[in-house]
Amino acid sequence: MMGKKKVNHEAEMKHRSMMDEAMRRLVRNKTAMLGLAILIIIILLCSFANVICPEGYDVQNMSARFTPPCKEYILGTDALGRSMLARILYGGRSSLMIGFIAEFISIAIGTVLGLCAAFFGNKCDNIIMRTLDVLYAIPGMLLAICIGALFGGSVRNCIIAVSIAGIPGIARTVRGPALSIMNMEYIEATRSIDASNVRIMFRHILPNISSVLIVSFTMGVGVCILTASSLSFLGLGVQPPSPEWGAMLSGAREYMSKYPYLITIPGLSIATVVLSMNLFGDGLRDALDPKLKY
Amino acid sequence: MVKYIIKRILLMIPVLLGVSILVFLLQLFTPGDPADIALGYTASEEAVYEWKEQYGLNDSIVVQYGNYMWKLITKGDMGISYRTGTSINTELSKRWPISFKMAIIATCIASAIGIPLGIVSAKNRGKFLDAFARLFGIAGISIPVFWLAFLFVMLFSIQLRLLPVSGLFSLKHWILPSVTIGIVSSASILRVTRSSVLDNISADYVRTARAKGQTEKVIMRHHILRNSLIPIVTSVATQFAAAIGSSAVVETVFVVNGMGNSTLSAINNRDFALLRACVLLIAVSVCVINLLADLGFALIDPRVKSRFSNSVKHAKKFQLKEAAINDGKEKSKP
Repeated sequence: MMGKKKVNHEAEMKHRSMMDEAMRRLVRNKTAMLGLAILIIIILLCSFANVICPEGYDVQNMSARFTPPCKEYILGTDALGRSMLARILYGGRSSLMIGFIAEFISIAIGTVLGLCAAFFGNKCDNIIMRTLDVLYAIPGMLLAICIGALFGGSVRNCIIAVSIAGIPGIARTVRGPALSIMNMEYIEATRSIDASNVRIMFRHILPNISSVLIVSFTMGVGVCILTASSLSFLGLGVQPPSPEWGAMLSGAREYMSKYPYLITIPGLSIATVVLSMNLFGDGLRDALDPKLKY
Repeated sequence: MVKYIIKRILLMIPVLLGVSILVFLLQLFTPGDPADIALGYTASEEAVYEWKEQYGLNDSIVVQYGNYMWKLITKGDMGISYRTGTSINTELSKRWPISFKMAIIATCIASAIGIPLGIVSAKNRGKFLDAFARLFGIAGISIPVFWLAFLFVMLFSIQLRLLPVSGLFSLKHWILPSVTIGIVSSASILRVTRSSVLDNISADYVRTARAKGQTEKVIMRHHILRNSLIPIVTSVATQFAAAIGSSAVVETVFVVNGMGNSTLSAINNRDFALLRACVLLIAVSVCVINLLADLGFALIDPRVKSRFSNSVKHAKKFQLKEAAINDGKEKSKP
């Protein structure tokens, strides 16, 4: 057994692709794995919210208002006697969903814009990048507030607002590396065999900036979750009674001095999710960026 | 250099024009008539018409935009608020300095914490201090600003009774809001500083400096820091923008009557005149800070300066110098 494994290992050593090596580095990174583990646990908990709390997030028990964490209510109850555990788990669903979908949308649009800007150059580059400069001049948070608020608060509008706020940053991060790849010889080679523009962009340039994209996706989900929860905190995102961590925090404000757990628990949930996402993202970046190998 | 500054200022104009068009477009896409909110839904059609006439809202959007920009550029007049009917200039002249000052103070605190901690972290790479700084950095970018604000209020105001909870009446009131934004921003600055210093710390010229017996202090200050300053300055400018952007959240927590608060009330009341003014002012300040950062690059890094100075003479001199260096290199080859 042992001998066979060793042989396999050696065979792998010989032709190990860059991605394999990156994965190896990632798995060896303890903090990144810790982040991933926490993240998976939270995602599982939130997706099985209806199994863990079958009664739903909206059952009010007025005789049990403000119960601090105990056996019956693991995380206590809020001002209306609703179970905090259920609200945190169901709220996590919307927070995570908004974070992932919004970041996915901004990555998709931002990548296409950045690639087009880099590929077509000149006029196209100027039009795209100057338009994005306009969005860039408004801080992301403010932009999200404006868009989210003016379109009205709902999960869908929250996603739109947060993803638009993320686009300019992504387009810029994509454009830089894409420009340097444009000067490579293999791009010239693909041009010479008459490959279509779309083919060059998505088959030859995109895979080479995939590590940049993967890292900005993992780090960006955290930013999106933070922005979305801030929107909900201001009452401009997800509307009550649907639970959302930011909205729960703003609802608990008046009881801050008497029942601090109403503040600490939702905030801690946001911080834990974003922290685990960032830990994993940092690990990914270290693994994918050969420059940091020293 | 002067040419470069003028060029950069001129480049700001289209961006700001774009921002103003964007905020005007927001009004077009938004459901809900500002007249309904100002006059109530029961107002008669004539009253609505008259009210709209007063604010020029019956004209087409292009005419409205033209009028607005004309007033803004010639008189610096940002119009009157739909909601209160008072001049926006007087309203914002009270609120603007508060948010601006807070963002400046917060950015200063953030730099004061982030840059030194980042340097120490990079210097002690892999040791305990580095682990602590990395933890601080990653926790700082993961914590929502408003939650940190609540935690500080619970600790310093409610438990220890050291600092006031809300308002902005004395110097003491400034501490919590600006420190809150400052700590969150410092985390990003720390991370950028750390990675930027790490990029340079094992560079060849650092080894050379060490080999010629330079003290560690001088190496850090003149060789490593000087070379890693550009990303740090960029990140400080970005954090200023973030601080101003998150002012709405922090001002809500601490009940401060600043720009963020006006922005929110403008949004809630569909007061587009006020909202336009707020967003434009914030965009102008972000652009100015970015401009200052860009000019800072030229001060820090002579390579940037030479790239941007358009004078042919200088460029030629630079080329000659480079050619001389290259010559030297070739000659030194055996």
